[in-house]
Amino acid sequence: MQRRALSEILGKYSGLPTAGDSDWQQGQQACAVPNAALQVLGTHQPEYKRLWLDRHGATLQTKLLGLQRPLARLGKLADQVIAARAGLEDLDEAGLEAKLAELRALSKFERNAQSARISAADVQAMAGINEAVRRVLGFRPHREQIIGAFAILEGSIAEMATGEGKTLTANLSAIAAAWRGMPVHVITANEYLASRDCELGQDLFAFCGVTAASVTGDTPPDARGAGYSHEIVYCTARDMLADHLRDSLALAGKAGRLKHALASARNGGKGEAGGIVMRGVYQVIVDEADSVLIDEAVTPLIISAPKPDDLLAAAAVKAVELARDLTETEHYTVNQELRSVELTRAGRQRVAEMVLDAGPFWQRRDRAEELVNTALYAMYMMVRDKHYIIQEDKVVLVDELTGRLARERTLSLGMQQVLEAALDLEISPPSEVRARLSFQRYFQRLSRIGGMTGTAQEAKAELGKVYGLGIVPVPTHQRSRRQNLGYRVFATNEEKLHAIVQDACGLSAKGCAVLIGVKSVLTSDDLADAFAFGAPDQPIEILNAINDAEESAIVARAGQAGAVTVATNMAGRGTDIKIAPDVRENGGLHVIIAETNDFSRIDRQLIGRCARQGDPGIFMRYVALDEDVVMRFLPPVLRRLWAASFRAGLAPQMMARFMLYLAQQRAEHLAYKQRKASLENEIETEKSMI
Amino acid sequence: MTAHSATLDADYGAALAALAEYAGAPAAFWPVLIQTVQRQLNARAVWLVWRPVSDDPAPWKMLAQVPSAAAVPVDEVLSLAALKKLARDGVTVGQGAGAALALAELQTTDPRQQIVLIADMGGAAAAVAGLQKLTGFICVPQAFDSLRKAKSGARDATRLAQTLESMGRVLDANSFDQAALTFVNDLSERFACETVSLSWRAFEGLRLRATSHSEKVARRSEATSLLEEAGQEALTQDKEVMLPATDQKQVSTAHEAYVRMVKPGHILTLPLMQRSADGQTTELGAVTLERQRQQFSTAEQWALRLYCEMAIAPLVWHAQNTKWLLVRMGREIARSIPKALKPRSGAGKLLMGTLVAAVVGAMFIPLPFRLSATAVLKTDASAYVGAAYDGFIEGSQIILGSVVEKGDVIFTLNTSELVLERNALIAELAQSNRDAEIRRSVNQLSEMLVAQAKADELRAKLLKIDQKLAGAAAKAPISGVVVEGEPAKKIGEAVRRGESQVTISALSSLYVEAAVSEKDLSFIAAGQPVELTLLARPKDTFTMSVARAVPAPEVQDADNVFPVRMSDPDTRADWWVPGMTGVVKISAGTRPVWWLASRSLVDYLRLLLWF
Repeated sequence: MQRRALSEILGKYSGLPTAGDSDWQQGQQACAVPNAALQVLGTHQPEYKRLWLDRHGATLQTKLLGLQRPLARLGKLADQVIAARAGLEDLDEAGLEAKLAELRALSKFERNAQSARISAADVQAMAGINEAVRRVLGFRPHREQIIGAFAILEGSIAEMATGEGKTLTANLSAIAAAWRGMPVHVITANEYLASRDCELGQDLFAFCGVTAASVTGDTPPDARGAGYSHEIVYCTARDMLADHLRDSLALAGKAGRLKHALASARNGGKGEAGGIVMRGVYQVIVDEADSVLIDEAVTPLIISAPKPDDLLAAAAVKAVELARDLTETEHYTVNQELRSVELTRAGRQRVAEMVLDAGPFWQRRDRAEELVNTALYAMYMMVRDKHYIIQEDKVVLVDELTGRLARERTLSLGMQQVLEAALDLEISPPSEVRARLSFQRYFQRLSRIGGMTGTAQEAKAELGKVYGLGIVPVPTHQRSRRQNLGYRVFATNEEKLHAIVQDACGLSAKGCAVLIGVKSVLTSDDLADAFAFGAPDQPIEILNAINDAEESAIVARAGQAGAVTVATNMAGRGTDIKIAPDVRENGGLHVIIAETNDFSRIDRQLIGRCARQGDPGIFMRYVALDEDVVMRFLPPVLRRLWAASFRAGLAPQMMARFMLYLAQQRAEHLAYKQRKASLENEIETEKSMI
Repeated sequence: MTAHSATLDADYGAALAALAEYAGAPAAFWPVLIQTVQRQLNARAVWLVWRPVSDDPAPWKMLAQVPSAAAVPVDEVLSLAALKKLARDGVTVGQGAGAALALAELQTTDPRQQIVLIADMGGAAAAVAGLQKLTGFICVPQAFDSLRKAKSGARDATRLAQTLESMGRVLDANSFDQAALTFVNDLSERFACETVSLSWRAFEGLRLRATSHSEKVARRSEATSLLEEAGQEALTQDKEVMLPATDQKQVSTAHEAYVRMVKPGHILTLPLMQRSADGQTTELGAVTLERQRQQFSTAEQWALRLYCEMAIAPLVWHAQNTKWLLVRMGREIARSIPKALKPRSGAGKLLMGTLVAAVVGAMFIPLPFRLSATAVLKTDASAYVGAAYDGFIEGSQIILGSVVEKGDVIFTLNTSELVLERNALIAELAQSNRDAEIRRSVNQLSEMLVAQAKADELRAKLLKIDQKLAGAAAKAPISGVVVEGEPAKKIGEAVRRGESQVTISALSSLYVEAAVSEKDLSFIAAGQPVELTLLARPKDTFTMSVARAVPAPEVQDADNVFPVRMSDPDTRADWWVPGMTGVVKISAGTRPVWWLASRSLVDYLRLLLWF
């Protein structure tokens, strides 16, 4: 059948010539690679709901992956790299450059989108990168780093002890991934690390012919697009997700390949969806993977705009007023373990009586009770200097896991306003949600994730279940010289603090450097008081969220002989405490865990501060029977049992280890359940919004 | 003068028309406009100022001016009064920079901006005279913009019409090769390319499937294989590859080799990939365009991408429909599998595979093969008890189920008639004996013999009656249980000699007989273990074994069944009675699950399809 050309018909009526002139805009063409530009749509596709088979398959795969030991295989590959790189050492500058170009092309051409396994081309490429490292940095990456880099490229989490050169490992894998010709994103724990790591690697990246940039909160909006256009992008998960959400707002309704191509073609190739900054996500390398992928993953990132609401502000004030009139146990009960406050029957009655003349807003009982409940929670569950601090008359939340201030974060559901009302601060306007997505759901959309961390074993099951990630425990390069002095158990917190002060002073006098880890700002203050009382002459440094500005200076001094530093979890991940030579002779850095954390991973992070890179180091744990983690997570029966055995002096070390293990296991399990519930909750919320 | 005015007017009109149809970029339009205004008005200088419309007026910004050195106090000239007049009349005169000015507020398609043209006319008279011509320029920007948009809209319509048309042609094609050829021909025409070729995935790598304007594809030539390699190059990188290169980081070894050989001028390869909902990609093929004239512009590249994105679905559809029947059938079957059984992720596939393997493996697990049949308790030894003579039942204790021992009286018959008869016979016998004695005494020998014979006859009769009397009590010939007849309930009933009144079954010789279907008979062999459960007490099972099958079929429920006799049970219950029914399970060894599951179907099909 001969079709009548539609253009002919159209041309007839439009009076325009149908042929002869060019259909699409001609002219100077820029470096346009439409297919690459379309990669940006990858993460914006509608969420794919995993089937039963897929979900349980992931669980099964994790179990199977747990059985296999990829270390041996990766070790062999690393040996191949070491053998291959020796052949490159004799090449002159130009020869190496040509070789690297050839390896780059090989990597691109051998890229296999379907398989994540390390190919022969990858081994070749890694050898080339190794040689580049030698020329640029003056040393060869060691075998463990190559193993780590391969593990990351294969989509696993490389568990590498602290001080094993994770940054270089990330760089090795980032370059290898960038050579494959796809965007690489390196996610770091914080913005400082993003810019630092990127800066440190620049010479190497340039030598290897890839470009890298860091995109942080400080990057201005108009420079972000340029930042993301680099082959390797260093950023925080927060920045990445925020940009993703902003992009998805900009893309609204135009996230289809056809629509995008059509719009761009009509516009002469300029791309219609202005304001898009990212260019697609392919390989993602996550530093501190357990923290990013698990601990912080359920917090949804919300793009919001302030929307003043006088009604809510007034309600918050009234709610606090009502809550202050109630008495504990009679009107409400407080459950510290579950962190919940509940109104009793009498309390409800009382609230109903009190709001009788409070205006129409308060006449709905459930609303009134909910607001009072929120107020009670804000007043009794949110502890100042533990969950938040007040800076410049503003509530600033403290991230319990990292110990850092979360300045941009606010509480939700009116909690922020109620808390401000309870503290007699100015009430900030609530925010209107424009886009929200939790980190976990975002990461689940990414095609290739690899990462590294010092503490992955504890999170193994969850990493596998949620992201399908396996774990490769990479051995340390040098034998660890870390010494565990075990537990010291005390009946009460006061005794414990006293002992810590005594021991720290003793160690300090001997010329050791002491790092005392605590959980919250509150405890750090208690400990400071204990020092002021017990050893007024002992100079101590306090590193917590309140004085985070001095962080780097405090960290720099912490390794000096005689230094005693009290730090919250801020001193955990990524903090590199360099020890002075005389401290090394005195046994290195002494880490005292003064307060056991909810998760053993965080304890291990703190322990990882000592004995880095072959240095000696000592750590010990101080435990009190009435510690927070014990009171909250250990069942009362076991608590009594422990107390009894402590009084009898029965195997204190073993009991402490066992009981803390139980408590932390429970805490971890509870946290997992909460994360799961919160994610389900988020999905439900989203459904109800549509 | 008139002629001069007419030429001037014609020139003026032409200038307005030329401005409205100005073909350059919008940014270049304003300088051209004011130059034309200057020329037409003979103005000393012309300025164009602009500001956004808002309640809070923003300062005026200079959009364009001629000559570039001239200056004008804009805020002074555009006083509130002047602006009001402009808003009312469109043009007005003003004063500023020591000269009379002609002002005009230009109209644009965007009501959010205000554009004012200021012309320095020198004298006041010239300014007033200039207003007339200036009026004509008021609508020129609007006309320019509208015409530009109309053109762009028409161009868009044309492009989209062409795209739709190309797609329509691809959809119209009867086969993949025809669709591919249509597609490449269209591309070649639309983008003025000398050659466009399409490579599509084959068993291994890509295979050239269509080249524009040639019915036959030249396979096995070096150029072809290079073209296929070039396609693979673009696919692997998942990016367009262009030569001469603009992206310095692309890999284009095959492209370069091809360019060296064919010298096509400019070459662009677009990868074709299929993307599923979960982000999985499948490599499909690549389109290579060759053009001598000029490079592919960015807009063209995007347009090509659009064409390719649109063509993927119909090409895939054609490719699937030109496959072998069996392949197509397989695909259709795969498509009809419920969504929930089609995992997307590798892990899901792994689980699916494991489950399928488990099910298949389970099919080979041997399970006990047990045949089921109805069974009945039977006995070999039974005895029938009847009346010895016609009479009435006089007495009995026996009802159904009564257990009797051998020799027990089952019932007794009434004997009064026999006794009377016997007494009469005894009397008669005495009479005969006496008669014989009398005859002997009178020596009547013959009569004596007659009387003796009569006596003998009577004796014989008497003996017979005695025997009858002895048989009045019917006795159990064997030990057992009464399974039929209840003489205790028939006292006084007339019974005839020879009729069976009571049936007694011997308990010691109970055996089990199963009715096995003809279909299952071949699996039965002597010695197979058997389990029996009786309806009376289903919770008890009894074990025994098969003794033999009896070749005496009978029809039971429209099925031909053979009695199969079981051996003596290992244990027997005291409540067993003959005639009880139940179910037996005969263990006929073990068979794999698949055999058990498919046995009846396979047998049925065998019989059905056998010829």
